[in-house]
Amino acid sequence: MTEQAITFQVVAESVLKDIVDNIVRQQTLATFANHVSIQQQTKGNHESNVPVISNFEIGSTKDIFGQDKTKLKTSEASRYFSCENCGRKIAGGRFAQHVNKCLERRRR
Amino acid sequence: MSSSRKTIPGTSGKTYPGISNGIKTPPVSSNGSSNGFHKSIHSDSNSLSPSDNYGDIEPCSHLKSVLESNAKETALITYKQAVTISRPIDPQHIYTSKKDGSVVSHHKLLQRKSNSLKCTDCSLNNFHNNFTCLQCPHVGCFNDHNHAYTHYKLNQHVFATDSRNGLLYCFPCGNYVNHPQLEKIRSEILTGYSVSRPTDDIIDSSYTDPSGLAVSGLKGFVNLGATCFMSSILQTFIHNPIIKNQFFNNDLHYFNCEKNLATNESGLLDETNACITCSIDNIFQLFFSSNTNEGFGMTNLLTTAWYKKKSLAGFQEQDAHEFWQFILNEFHSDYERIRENIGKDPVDSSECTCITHTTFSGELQSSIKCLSCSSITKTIDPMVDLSLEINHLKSNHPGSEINLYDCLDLFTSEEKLDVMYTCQSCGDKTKAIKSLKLKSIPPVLSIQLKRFKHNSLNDSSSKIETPIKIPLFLNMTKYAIGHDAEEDADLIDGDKIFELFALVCHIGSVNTGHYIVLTKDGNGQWYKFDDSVVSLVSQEEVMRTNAYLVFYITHKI
Repeated sequence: MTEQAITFQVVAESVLKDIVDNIVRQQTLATFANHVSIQQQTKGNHESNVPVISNFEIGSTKDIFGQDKTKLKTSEASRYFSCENCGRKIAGGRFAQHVNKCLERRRR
Repeated sequence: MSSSRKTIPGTSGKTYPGISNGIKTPPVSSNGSSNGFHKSIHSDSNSLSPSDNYGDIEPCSHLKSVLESNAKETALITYKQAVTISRPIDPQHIYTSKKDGSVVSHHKLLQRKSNSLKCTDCSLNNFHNNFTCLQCPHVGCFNDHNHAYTHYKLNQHVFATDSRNGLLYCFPCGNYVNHPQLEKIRSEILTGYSVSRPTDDIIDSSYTDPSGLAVSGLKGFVNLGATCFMSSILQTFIHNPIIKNQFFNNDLHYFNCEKNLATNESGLLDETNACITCSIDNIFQLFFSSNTNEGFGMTNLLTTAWYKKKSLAGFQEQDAHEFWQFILNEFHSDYERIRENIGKDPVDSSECTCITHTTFSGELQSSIKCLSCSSITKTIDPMVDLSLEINHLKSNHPGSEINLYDCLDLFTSEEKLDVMYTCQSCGDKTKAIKSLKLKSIPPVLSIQLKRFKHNSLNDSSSKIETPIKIPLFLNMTKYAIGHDAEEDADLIDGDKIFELFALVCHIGSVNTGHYIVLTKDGNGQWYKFDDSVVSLVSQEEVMRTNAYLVFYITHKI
């Protein structure tokens, strides 16, 4: 028991503290259980070359997979995708334009 | 590990007073009452407590050795008792005493439970959140005084049951532990149905586990021109649990969409088989099963969008909100088309169960008050989002920043109508006051802040950059019908609390801008998606961002 004078304030704060402690414990357990669950049910993917979310630093110059942000943007824009209409491979940044022209042509 | 019980469990002793008096515990009663404020998101658990993930928690060496020893049966019996006592008291069920069948009031039951869950050393109840020792009648608290731990140290009683969730705690390991045999008991008692996990052999032969990376769904979209307005909106769908659930259970569309099944001669996409729902379904499929972290190329969606609405096909920068509305419309018309395909009659919008309507649709009540006779005419309009004015907005609390509540206050405040209104009850042509309130709020509340102003004088558009603070949790109680904005300003109705989970932000000017999106995952972690770059952001940064579209989800999930 506490040595403080028992006022409403003291009781209220104590009740609040107990509630918060309980909530924190429940939530920690829930998060932990979720994590274990996911770990277990995505087992078997121990093959290498599967990227892992490794960078948890906030505000870093790298994305969550540890790749440099600016480099990633430029490299992604130069990836090639196949046009669904003509089958040609077009670079990422110009893809939407190509689709527009390609489908217009086809319509006519 | 020998059990040193003072009394034999099961007899009328002092062990677990609540149980020994034989209160008959009920078979599971159903609830699932929809409160009328949300279209009911199906709660498929007919249970007293929601089913949880605790079944996956592993056993520790201590637990394994007990379950392999002679003490196994006693341990299981005691555990069963402990879990039964942990059961929450169901207010809807009537409890009868085993002894003579008389009705036991909930109050008495609660008293009994409180008594039996009092800490043996300090008599603190801790909201029924204590640890009941597995080997003796000791109940220990776990918070301040930590009597549960001291009991373990003194008596070497390794295990205790958490009376909140029925899980076993192992003191030397300092962690919760579980085992399939325990889990079977626990889930049967707490949730009313027993969870049986298929054995590993069955699993191995029929399924392969998805990769951890795929399951998280954390990928970016490659910018294929000017597609950031599309990728931002798509991310808000992908990380929206309700929409995700719909698309994971999309069999109705998948098997009945003629555009999915038809392929023209060359196997390519064209007008006859362009279907937005199918494209998005495809995106979900690939997002959550592919093993790579490289950005997703939404070529299929671009092509499909071109056939449906050329301007939104990603080669020109467009408004994200317009794209959002376009997709929602497509979901709805696709749904109606499917209904026709399977021979069902079309239904009214108010009863439509398509993705758009079940997730985003709510109702606004507009009240017009006639100033001469004071009669009020109410009309109900459906809505899928709220568009809030932010121009000329001043904070209600001088000195602090404008926040979303200020915008909502303006939206629901009384507005004097300019035009003369012909009152229906008194027939006068008078002035009138109009005000808006929310009649029903959808599970996902979408808000657009009108940042783009069109200047009709010189036909130009400009962007309003006013910073608006977005609260992480939104209390909509005072904006709902039946509540007054000023009187009930601080009232909280649990059904009307919403949690922020996605923001779409526009950076730059009207003509040359860029969209990024911030979303929150189930664990409360915020991610920033800038085309194909995914990174973590802090909560503070989220609150400081100048958002354009914000999405809230009901806290009741």
